[in-house]
Amino acid sequence: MKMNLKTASFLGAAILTSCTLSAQSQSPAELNDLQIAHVAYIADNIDIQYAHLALALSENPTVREFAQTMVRDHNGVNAQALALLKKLDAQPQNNFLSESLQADAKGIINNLASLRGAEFDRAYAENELAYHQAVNGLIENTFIPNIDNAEVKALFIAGLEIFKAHEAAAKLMVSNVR
Amino acid sequence: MIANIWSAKVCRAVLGAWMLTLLVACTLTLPVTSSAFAESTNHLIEIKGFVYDPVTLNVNAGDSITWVNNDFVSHTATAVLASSQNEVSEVSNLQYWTTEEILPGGKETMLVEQSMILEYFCKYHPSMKASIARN
Repeated sequence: MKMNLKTASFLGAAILTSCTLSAQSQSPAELNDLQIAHVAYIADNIDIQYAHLALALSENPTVREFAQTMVRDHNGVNAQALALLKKLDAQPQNNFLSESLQADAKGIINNLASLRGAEFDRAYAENELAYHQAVNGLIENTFIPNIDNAEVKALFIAGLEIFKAHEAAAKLMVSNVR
Repeated sequence: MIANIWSAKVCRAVLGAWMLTLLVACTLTLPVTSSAFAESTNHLIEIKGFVYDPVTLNVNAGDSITWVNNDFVSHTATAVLASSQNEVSEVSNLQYWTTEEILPGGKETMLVEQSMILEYFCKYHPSMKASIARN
């Protein structure tokens, strides 16, 4: 029963993340390019944090392989983003959405860190699917249409391809660990 | 006369042995000779936008395939192992293979072998799938 409560609480946090992304008093659609870049950088780093937790706690080969891919790919995307910002001589700008994502992630990490074994694997897999679905929706429907700079837009379009592949892999992982 | 008959027998035997040797030699060397003259091709597959291009490639045993990664994350080309009991019997005699990690901007080359598994995917991004077709 205790395990179920923990899982339910964790899922609540994941759903809260999705809601936070779509229903803020301040609108994600009004962010400028540098704020959007900041959100993307934070979102990448959050997923890297989840992955490091999985590599520390999980012994499931499917989960570990996925987590290693998240570390490798999100670091790759961040390196591209930083290189572009350097080229544009621009600094990413902190904003309400970045802070909200970080606050949600803190709660999710606390929940995940309290789980072990198959329970952790299921929770990690479900969070990865929910997180990628939420962030991909935000990138595709809100960020890409609103980005002004052509090079930043191109990077987000390329990034979305990667994150959609992650979403598909997360879906497979969820069915594997159930 | 005896010497001549003996000589003729020896000649026939020597000739027969020589022809047999020639036949065996031809049998043994012909395939090697023909394959040595056959052109082996190096095929190029570009990975871009999480897609292998071409997604199906026609090859001959002895050809090589080079995957070039033009994405900014790493990929692999890895043989698909059987996922069900029925498929196991079909692919049990086929050879598993995988490239090393293909780094962004990097490439990996592999030799095509007769018994290799034909379906492959990226083990980091399992939604990326492609296949090899042997001529």
